[in-house]
Amino acid sequence: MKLLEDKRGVVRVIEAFLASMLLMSCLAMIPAQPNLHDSTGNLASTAQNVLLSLDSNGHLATLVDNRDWTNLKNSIESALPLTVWFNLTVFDENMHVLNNFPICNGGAVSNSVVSVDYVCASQNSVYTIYILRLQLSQVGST
Amino acid sequence: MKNRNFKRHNSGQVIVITALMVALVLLSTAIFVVETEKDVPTGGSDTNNVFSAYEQAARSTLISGLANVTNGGNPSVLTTDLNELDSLIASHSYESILQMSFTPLNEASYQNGIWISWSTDGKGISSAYVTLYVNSTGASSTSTLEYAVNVTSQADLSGNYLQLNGTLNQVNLTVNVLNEGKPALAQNFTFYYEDGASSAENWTQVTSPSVTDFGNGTYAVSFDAQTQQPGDPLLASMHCQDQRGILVDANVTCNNLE
Repeated sequence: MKLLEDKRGVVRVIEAFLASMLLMSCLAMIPAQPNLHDSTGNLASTAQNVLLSLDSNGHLATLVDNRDWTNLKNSIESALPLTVWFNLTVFDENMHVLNNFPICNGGAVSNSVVSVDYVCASQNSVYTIYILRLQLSQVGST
Repeated sequence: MKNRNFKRHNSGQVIVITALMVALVLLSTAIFVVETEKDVPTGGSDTNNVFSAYEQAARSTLISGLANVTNGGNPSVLTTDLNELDSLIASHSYESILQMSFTPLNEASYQNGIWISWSTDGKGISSAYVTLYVNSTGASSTSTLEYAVNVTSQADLSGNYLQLNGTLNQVNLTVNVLNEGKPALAQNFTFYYEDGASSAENWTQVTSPSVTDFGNGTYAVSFDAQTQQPGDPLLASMHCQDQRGILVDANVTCNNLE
């Protein structure tokens, strides 16, 4: 009750309110980024881009060559937005699954799942070709 | 002067702390929004992305084939690998009918897409070159791509030597490693030297050379070499494997600094 009766903090309340308004206006000025993941086509393009960028210097094939599934999962996770679910399956050229545990970031978040197959050639002198199947799903898509 | 007692003026503190907490919540929300809106690298339309993937696969195949051939493999391995890639890509093209062909370069110094020049003037080149042709016919459009893929590893070797004591010499070499004409790092080196006055070819492997890596594809190498007679010319040889596993050899006649 003493706090309610005390009127000496009114100026500070106004200051706090003005500070909050200033913060809100700053946030409103952040330019809205275009949402590239709102359609199936864009999600497929995103999957292709992620695999292509990771494979640009042979990094992707090296991870598969070394069966380094943990770093492969981390690489894909860091390249995708948080709101996108993924599941990666690595096959050899005869379509036998190579990864012995799921490379994904949880359970599927939507019924609409996009799947992209990516042919990845090893730069190792012992030539090997892998098929990487990346499945993506956007949170909120139907 | 009247002293103010700050302890008694504490009525707005709860509000100020609350405002700070609200600001923290707003900031963390802003960070979350930025993180969730994070874009992945963009590369144009789907067709362009698929073609870029084919180019990347062809480049990796060339690197693998060249690494194999320069380390003693059969030169036909490149054609075999490209055919394997061709059939696998064609069998995994679900949205379009794909026609793909690779044409290894057979001009100038290239034979079946491979050129290996490990010369005695200090320049070593290992290169592979193919032209990739892709024709993709989909439900609504037809796209064609013709693209030259070139993988070249080069090492330039130069050197001199200083007579230390009788037949003992200090050899100083400079190595420049290039990938596609740009400075690149080496994975490992092996050095040899030979007495140039000796009639028989008798290369001696350098056991523990001092190698200084300047981090920009340039390496300074120093080691001691023994000749049969004082003042005999010295030849140096290098086996250089770059980070991609491609081997490049080069030989050079060292200059006597005296």
